[in-house]
Amino acid sequence: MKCTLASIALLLVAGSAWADGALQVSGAWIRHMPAGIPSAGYFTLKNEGQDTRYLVGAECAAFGNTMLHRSVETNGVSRMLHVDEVKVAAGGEIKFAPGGYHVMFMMPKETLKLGERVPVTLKFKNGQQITADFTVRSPASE
Amino acid sequence: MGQVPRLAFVALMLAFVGSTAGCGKPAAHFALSDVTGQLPPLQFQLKDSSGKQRTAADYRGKVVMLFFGYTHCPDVCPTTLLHLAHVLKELGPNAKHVAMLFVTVDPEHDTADKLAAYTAVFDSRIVGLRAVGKPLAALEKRYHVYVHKVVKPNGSYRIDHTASIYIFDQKGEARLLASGSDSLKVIAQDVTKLVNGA
Repeated sequence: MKCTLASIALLLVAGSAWADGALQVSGAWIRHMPAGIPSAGYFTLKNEGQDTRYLVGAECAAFGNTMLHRSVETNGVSRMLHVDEVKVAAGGEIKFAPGGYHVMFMMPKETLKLGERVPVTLKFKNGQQITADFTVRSPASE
Repeated sequence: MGQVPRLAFVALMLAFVGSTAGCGKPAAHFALSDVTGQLPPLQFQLKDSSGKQRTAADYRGKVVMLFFGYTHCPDVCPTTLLHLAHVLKELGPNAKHVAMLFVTVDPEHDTADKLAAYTAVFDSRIVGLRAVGKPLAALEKRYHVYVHKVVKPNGSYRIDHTASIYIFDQKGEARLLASGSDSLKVIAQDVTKLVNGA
C-alpha cells in the first residue's frame, strides 16, 4: 500500500518536472493561440550539477520552426532578439517568462487543445537533451 | 552659502506651480506619463475586423487606449493584450466608457479574420484595426510610432515596434502614455480619472 502511494506520488511529481541528470525543467507551458498564429513557451530550468550548461535550442514536432528568443524594451520600443545560448550556472536557474526569454514556436502544424501536453526537447551545448511536456494554457489564465 | 539662492529658487518654483494650478480647474495628477498638449488629438482612418471604416469620431465620448502590435509577435503582444484585458476587468462598469484599439503594424499578414481571432483570445471588447499603406503610415508618423521590420534569410521576420499605450480623453485629446510594465491598477486608476472627466 505504502509502495503504491509512493509510486503515485512519484507519478505526480513526474507530471510537473522533468529531469535529466542535474538539469530540471518545471512549470513548462505554452500559450494557446488561434489557428496559424505562432506561440511562445515558458519554463524554469534548474541546474543542480557542478558544471555550467548552455541552452542552445529547442525542438517541437507540433511546430515547423522553434527558436530561443528574448524580448527587450528600450526607450518604449519592443524588440525580439534571437538568442544563441542561455547560460545556466552550476547551482543556478533561469526563468523563461513573458516579456523576457521565451521559446518561439512558429509554423504550427496543428491547432493545439487547451490542457494538452506537448513534448518539447531542450538542447544543450554539450549535446545533452531534455524533453519536457509543455502544458497548453489559455492566455487568459496567466 | 548657496542656501539662500536655493531657497529662493524653491519659492519661485512653488509660486509657479501654485499659479499654474490656479488657472482653470486644478490639474489632475496621474501616475502615468502625462502627455497633455504634447501629442496631437486622436485622428485615424482604419478598418475594423468586419471591414468597416473607422475614424476617431466613432470613439468620441470614450476614453481611447491605442496601441500597436502584430499577431506574429508571440511574447510581448500577448502579454500586453492580456494586461489590457485585465485592465478592462479592473475598470468594472467604467469599461463601457473605454475603447481599446489594437492597430496591427503587419497589415499585409494580419488579415481582418486573423486580427479578429487574435484579439478575441484576450477580450472581445478589444478592437483590432488595420490599414495598408498611407493611412497606417500617417498614424505611425502622427504619434511617432517606431516600426522596423527585420527579415531573416530564411524568410522569417520580426517587427520592432513602439510598445507604448496611447491614452486619449473623451474629446480625443492625447493625455497619457502607459507601458506594459505599468501595473494594471495604476493604468485602471488613471483611466478611471479620465472617464470621470479629469
